Amino acid sequence: MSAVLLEGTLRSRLEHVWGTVVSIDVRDAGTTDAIVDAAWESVRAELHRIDAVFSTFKSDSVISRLRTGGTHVIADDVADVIDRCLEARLATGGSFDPWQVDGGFDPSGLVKGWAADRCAAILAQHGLRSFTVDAAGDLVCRGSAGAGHAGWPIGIAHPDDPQAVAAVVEIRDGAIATSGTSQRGEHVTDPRTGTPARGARQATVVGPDGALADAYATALVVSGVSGARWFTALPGWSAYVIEGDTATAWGPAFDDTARSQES
Amino acid sequence: MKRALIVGTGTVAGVAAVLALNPAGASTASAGLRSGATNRPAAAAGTSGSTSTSSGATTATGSTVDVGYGLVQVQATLQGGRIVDIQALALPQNDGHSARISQQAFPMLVQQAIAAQSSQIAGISGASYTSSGFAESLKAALLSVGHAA
Repeated sequence: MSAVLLEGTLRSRLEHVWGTVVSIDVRDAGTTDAIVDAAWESVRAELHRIDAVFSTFKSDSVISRLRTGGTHVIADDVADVIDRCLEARLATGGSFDPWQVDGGFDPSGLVKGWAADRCAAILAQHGLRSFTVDAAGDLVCRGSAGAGHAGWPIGIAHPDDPQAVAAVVEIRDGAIATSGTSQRGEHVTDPRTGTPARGARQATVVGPDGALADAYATALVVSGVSGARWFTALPGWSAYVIEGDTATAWGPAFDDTARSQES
Repeated sequence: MKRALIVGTGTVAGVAAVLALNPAGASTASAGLRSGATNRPAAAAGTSGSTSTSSGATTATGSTVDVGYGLVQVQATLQGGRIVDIQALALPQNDGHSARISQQAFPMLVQQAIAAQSSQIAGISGASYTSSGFAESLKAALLSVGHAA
């Protein structure tokens, strides 16, 4: 049914950045185009600022200069990203480790989700309460999609079938991120061995923080279902891991929906 | 081909937004939808945006989006307020790689877009392989269709 998509007021904006597209979907009933436009301008500026700071493809970015070594004075946001990287490396037992990357420290596996959180914070500062930020498949959700929804019903891409979703999860205030290996060669490297990840074909993580969701999804592709060891110790986090032809779900987000589904 | 699937995972949400703008939804959807791409000189927007009707169907043509290695432009056919077909008016063919991605991904994106009409989802989370940016640009094109609708 498309009806769900027609409820309330929907305003979308999108921006080409980082070689991909970031979009927002605002459903606040009482807002106006002018408010959304103003918020969106701030978001766009932040997206391009983040690109200038964190791009590993730009030789003059802060991250590129960090990778060349030496001592650097870094801004608070770079320090924040490094803190998240440390937290994720610790929490995942090293399955996520941006320091074990060819060419030096590379936080790219976390920055997209981190940026989505930043964008969500900007939209909230402009008074918006019900929206998603979609950073190329990593989403941060606030409020709900409209009347009749507790949150935002988000599909998890099916790794084999473009016409299906593997599961649907309702997210109110939180983030969802998905990583995978099977689609375009070996995308994820096991930082502990330097070889292609052999854990899960696809891993989706739901939780309170976009940066960590991004990192944990990548780490679960490395760990596979044996990642339960570290993942299930994280309070407030849920995951949907597809290994072989079996989907395994952990955590409260999937209590009702996905636990018994197979991919 | 499985590998083309994830390339398109970002698209359905954009299609969902488009659906909210279709004529049948006009009574309930108060939508303001625009592509940020139109603000950029690099993205050649505005070659279209027109809609036309013939035999009960509405055709909405998206703006042309420059994805850096070619142009993307799509045209959606709506009937009874639903997307029934999406045609590519332009796809990147600059080199063999681009052409191959175009050939593999586009039919799947069309299927996904049409399937999204029957789903209750407001977005899709998927592993994204952003080096091409191809599917995400199609999302922009589809959003621009919505803008025109």
